[in-house]
Amino acid sequence: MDQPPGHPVPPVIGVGVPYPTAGGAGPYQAYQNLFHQQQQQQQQQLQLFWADQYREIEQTTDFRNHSLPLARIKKIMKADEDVRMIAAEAPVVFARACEMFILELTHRSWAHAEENKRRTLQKNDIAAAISRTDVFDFLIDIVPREEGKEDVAHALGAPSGDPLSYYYVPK
Amino acid sequence: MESPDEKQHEDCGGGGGGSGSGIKEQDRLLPIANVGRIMKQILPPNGKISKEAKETMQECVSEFISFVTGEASEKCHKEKRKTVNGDDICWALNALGFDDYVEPMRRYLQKYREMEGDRVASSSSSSSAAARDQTGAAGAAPFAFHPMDRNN
Repeated sequence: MDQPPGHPVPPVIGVGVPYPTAGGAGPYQAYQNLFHQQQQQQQQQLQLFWADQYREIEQTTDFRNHSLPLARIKKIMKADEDVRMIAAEAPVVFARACEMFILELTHRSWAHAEENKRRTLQKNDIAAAISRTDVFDFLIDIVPREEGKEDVAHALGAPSGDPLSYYYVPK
Repeated sequence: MESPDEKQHEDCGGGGGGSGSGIKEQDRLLPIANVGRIMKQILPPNGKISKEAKETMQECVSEFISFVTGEASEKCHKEKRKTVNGDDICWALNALGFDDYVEPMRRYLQKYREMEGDRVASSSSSSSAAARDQTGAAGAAPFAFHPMDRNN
């Protein structure tokens, strides 16, 4: 692999896969199998990701410099009328939690970009990651419905970029 | 009983001077530069990010903060506490299903309290700032309910 550690590339699906013309479960099953394989690999990558996060936190010594501005975080917290006092540690905790959140959502979104053979992360990649991840349900209103819908076909095993994917849309 | 808490945060005006009529548009989002930088960290070297994706991520993070804060704040309200602290946030992350976040963030919070406890203890004579609803520092260092002085 010519990727730096921590950025393994899952195999690209849909290139060079033979499409038997006979009926039966052939190509559909093949897509399903490959999709599940890809999912498994993504799961493994995510496990590595979380292990990395924990390790980084273990090594943290600088609690004064953050990748996100604490004052802005506090402002967002205070937008909630029910919030009164905020302990100094709260925005600090959020700064790190938000960093993890951005990393996780980006990681999942990137998987979608790669499935579509793109090297630029787009809004619809984030939409896909949101629709695929239960814990991100609260974000569903941020991304338009159309961009999440394409994953219906994909969930059945057809890669989004595949010109033959329309064969696999259920009746 | 909660009066030490009142000293624990300042109303900082740096970077986003508030208007009288509530939060300005840009104040409800984290800066796009910071967000973009973090996103880049997890992408391969040749990965690029569209501007729209960064903007979407900004919205998602703010929603994340609001979502978790709301849950934490509700807990405080139920327990008749006025101050949202780090434990409440960890609790909310757990309650809302962010299972993978809980252990790392609890550890982060623990480390932060240890560090800041040492800092406060060494810079002034110890105060009675420790709150009852904390579980952290097993040692003698008082808790970090001190004014925030690390704004960007």
